[in-house]
Amino acid sequence: MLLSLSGVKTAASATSPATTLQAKNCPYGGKPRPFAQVVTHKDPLTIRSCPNGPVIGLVPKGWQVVTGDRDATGKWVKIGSHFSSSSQNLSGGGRANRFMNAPNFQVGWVLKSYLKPLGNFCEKPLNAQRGTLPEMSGKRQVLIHQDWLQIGDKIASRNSEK
Amino acid sequence: MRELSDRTATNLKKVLEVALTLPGNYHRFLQAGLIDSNSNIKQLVTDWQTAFTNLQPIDKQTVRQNPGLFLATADDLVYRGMTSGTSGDFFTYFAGNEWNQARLLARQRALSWWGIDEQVPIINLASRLQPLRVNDISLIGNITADWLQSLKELLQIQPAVIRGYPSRLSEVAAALVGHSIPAVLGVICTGEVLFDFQKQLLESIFQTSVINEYGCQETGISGLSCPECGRLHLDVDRCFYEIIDGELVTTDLFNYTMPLIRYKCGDRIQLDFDACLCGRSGFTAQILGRIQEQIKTQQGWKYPGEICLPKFPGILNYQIVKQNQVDVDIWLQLEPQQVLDLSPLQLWLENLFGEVRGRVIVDSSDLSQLENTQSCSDLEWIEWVTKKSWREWLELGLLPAGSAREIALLLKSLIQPTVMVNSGISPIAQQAIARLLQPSPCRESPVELMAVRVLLLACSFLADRPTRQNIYHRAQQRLAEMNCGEYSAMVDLLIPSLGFDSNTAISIWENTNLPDSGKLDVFNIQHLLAAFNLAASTAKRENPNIAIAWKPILSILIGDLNFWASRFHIQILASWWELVNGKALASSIHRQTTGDSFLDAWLTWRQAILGDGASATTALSQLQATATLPTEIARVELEQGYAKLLWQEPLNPVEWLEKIHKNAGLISANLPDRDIDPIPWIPLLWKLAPLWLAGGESELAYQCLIAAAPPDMRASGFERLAREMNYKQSTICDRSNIPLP
Repeated sequence: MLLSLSGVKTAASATSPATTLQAKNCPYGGKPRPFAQVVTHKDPLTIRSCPNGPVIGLVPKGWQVVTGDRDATGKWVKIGSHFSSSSQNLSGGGRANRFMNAPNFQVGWVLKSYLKPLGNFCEKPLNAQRGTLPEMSGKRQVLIHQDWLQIGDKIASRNSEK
Repeated sequence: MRELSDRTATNLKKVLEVALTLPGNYHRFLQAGLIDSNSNIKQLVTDWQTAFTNLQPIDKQTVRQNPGLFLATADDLVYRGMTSGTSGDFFTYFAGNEWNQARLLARQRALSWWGIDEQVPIINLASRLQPLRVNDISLIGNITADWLQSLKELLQIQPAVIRGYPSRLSEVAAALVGHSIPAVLGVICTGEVLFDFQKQLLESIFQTSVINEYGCQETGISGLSCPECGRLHLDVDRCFYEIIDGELVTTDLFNYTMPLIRYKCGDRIQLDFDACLCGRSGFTAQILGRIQEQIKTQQGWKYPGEICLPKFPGILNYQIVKQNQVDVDIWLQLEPQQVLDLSPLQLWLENLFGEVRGRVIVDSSDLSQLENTQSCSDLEWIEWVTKKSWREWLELGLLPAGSAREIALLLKSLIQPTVMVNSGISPIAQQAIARLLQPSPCRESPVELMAVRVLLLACSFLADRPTRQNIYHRAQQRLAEMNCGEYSAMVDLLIPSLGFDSNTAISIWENTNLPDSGKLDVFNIQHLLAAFNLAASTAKRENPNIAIAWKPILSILIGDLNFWASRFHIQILASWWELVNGKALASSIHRQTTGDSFLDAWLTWRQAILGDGASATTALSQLQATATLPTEIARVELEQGYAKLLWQEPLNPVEWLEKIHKNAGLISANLPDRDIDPIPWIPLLWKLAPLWLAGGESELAYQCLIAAAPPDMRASGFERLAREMNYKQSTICDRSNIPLP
């Protein structure tokens, strides 16, 4: 057996909110993965088969995706869903998983400028905060367990616009 | 099935009688012969115990698809919990008062084996475990030097039991090597499989017994190891346990709200029916792990609990992650000043996995550098908390470098406490308040003003009224000495009145010289939100009629603020005081009209609620007549809903669901097109849920209850930290064996 000392963890990066140890894993395996939220103004975000390639799908505004590789320009990033199996190839998070509120979702490439990084998480970070309750609200999403400070921030931003 | 005791049989029958009425169970019960298919009446057959053995177990995924089909009542909801699970693989479950009482009693009973009574605090460490009993505490967040110091200070104040996930507790223990640690009365390990090396480490560092706890809330499972033999005794009063095809299958005997019958929770355990030498009745168990946690070894597939993880010389703590068929990551925390000899570990890994590539990662974290903070000037920080996002402030870890630093740290400890107590604030935050109460002559005026504003905000976090009053008066005095007349500071001076009695509140209102006009700043808005918690408690005590009719009144206050923030006048604050106290505030200031006709009509309507029904009806009609903007018309419909709740008038569920759809975006603007903010509608959703359930729309009823989760400042602050840093993990796992969902 080959046993090599390959890494010494010294300190977490001050810029990264995730301070998990390198080998530390999530409850059921896997490491925390980078999540981002789609922040288009109104329309869904176009998903392409490769950077600037043919359109293969759409991801709704406000959706949370797992991000993977970037292209050489840094403008395009590959996305998958929280069902994707790994951060590298993001497989398994596309058409096989049908999403009621994102029927055209596919694993693919999107413009990075339309994504807001949310940090690294084991689970979909806002799963408990935004839910699809089709019986109650149709295709609209319901904010559940909203973060208390974000409630204040939201009210304050509305106040400052007046 | 083994023979049931009379008590278990009685409880099982009672819960089956509730469960058989639910659509999610009907076919399963019918198939097992638990109910008679020829009878029009749904009732258990005479020999239900035999039929029960034929009942097909149900798993989490099935319940998750249509949880509403398992909802028996939408009235007696005392507990709202979320199952554990992989991404997207969880659901919210509900339970009632009887269940909650049984839960607390079982816990109290088991803890008493170890002499842990209600007076002994339990400090939950670095985990997603909230304080449960009155004296309990949770210390959450990243394990830094300050965090460890907080732990020692808490233990210094009062010896306590510590509790958490064994992997996280071991991280804490390893970080405490060489420290002088105040007395610890016991270490409770829960949530993960406890391994031998962890038990040894925890015992040696904390110099106390290690207790193994097992629990799964949605199933009613609970258990604790006994002091005499260390065997894990499961509580058989709350839950009926079976092993079917090697898997644990349970029936919670006290959940009549959302009963889960023969439910597979996904854990693998071994039950041992041999009597324990400690003399306690019932059986014991060994936890093997989650069903998806199997690990491929030289000896075949194993669950974590079937693998012995020994102590290795020179290594305090470790984690093994098999990344794929050939690569294994080993993370280590070493004993100080040890030459690392990897050969025992290497040999052990070879025996376990065969020929693999091991990658060792030694943790040599400098705890002082784990703090996520950035420095800024005092004025930059003040600008941030009065004008910008508080959530972003915390995410950036922005702290002022000057004399405002202690003020910022106090504010942070209030809104995002790493030390969380069951009610009020932690002893550490209390000390910070005491320090800030001492005037400091070297503070510049903007910093001193922020010190006073933060002290006024702190009043909303204090349960003890005399302490709150003392802090308020000292802050008020300091503000008077500053001769400050800023609108935002004056609003801060009035906000704490929401938590005070009539005399104090009237005195506050009469002695505050508010400028004619001004605008709420970000600090005011966050201050108001915090004060609403205290106001909601006041309503329960002073105006129970409104607190019951408009439950949870907190959501109404937040909804009001969201609607009126941009049109704020101080009369609104006075109106909230009157609402929660159920009486008029005898002050002339807030009687003046605002110049905003719709707001004036709204204030009249809210005040009329305190009087007779006729004047309230007139005021509501007047409000409707005044509404011109679409947002105002939507607001009127919401207030009409509140009126129906108050006057106990029937609600048409179809009509009101449509109203919510139509008006939600207008009442809570600035939301993405697809979103609904349910907060102002929560009291109505609570009423709609039982109506939908009675009408056979169980999934809709369930979804109303999900949407009606009340806003919770404490839980929100807790989750913000603990969700990111204090989740469970596996001490040994095989990532090559993670199935796709």
